Amino acid sequence: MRLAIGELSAVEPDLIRFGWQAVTADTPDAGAELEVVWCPAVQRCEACGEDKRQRDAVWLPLCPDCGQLLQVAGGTELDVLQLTYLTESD
Amino acid sequence: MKTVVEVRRKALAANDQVAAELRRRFTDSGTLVVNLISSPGSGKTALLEATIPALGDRCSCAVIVGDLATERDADRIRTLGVRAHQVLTGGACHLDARQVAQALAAMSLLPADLLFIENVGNLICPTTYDLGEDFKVALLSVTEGDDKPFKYPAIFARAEVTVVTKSDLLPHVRFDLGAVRQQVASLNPIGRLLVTSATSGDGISSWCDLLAARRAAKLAGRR
Repeated sequence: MRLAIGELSAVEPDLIRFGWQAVTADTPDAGAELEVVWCPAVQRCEACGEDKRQRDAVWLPLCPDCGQLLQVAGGTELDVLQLTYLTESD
Repeated sequence: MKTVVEVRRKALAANDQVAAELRRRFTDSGTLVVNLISSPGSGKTALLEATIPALGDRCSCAVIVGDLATERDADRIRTLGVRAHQVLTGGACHLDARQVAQALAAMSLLPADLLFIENVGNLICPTTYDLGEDFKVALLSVTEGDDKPFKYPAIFARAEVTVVTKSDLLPHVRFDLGAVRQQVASLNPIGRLLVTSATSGDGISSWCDLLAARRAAKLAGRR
């Protein structure tokens, strides 16, 4: 199972992996893998025309280069992207 | 044989579908719906206790309030002479769209000009559940600390309005309002920030004006 999880989705990849293991344990799905595609929220400066990198996951109050307000984009993903399963071959 | 299926579906699609139905229903009834989200004890109920009488005849109000247990908050709202339905979530930390639909079925809350949904006190999970609201409001009391928007960015990035509460306590606590303004502005450049006190009445009229204006705009957009 491949999931997309955004930084602003209120879901933590480590916790959902732990939950996945717990609910699949001792079932026919035991050992099924959960793959998380992490989707960070991006702080973008329209004045500079580029995304600004946060340091140590600390949000930037203003653009470190030009001092303008930043826009927040992305990071709200919580999507089931892809499912891969094995079927008995004929 | 290995089979790969492209799903590309939102994990909360079922909730979003119910929320879309609710949104249509609220548009039909001309009801502005506000989803109030904050930590426990930030003053959601107190804000409503100050807001509803201040709105007076300008808007008829109804309230859905979520808590883990007790009818206490709904009772406080009913004292104001307003219809209020308490959703008891048991152990759950947020309201979902289905619970709002159930509340509407359980109690005659519509028609109303304004429906407040007072979410369960929690700054995290309620953020991602669409309840069919027109907008989310984040409450932040001055006793909680002025670094909260950056600590809980998801809600402050999504909330159209941030309401700072308990402003009457500002002289007694270390709370840098300027820092909060800057954090909220950087997470949400188009968001509004209001400073209020349910105790002193500070900022309540601006908040009521905003609600009445948004409700009028919704009606105008419907025509």
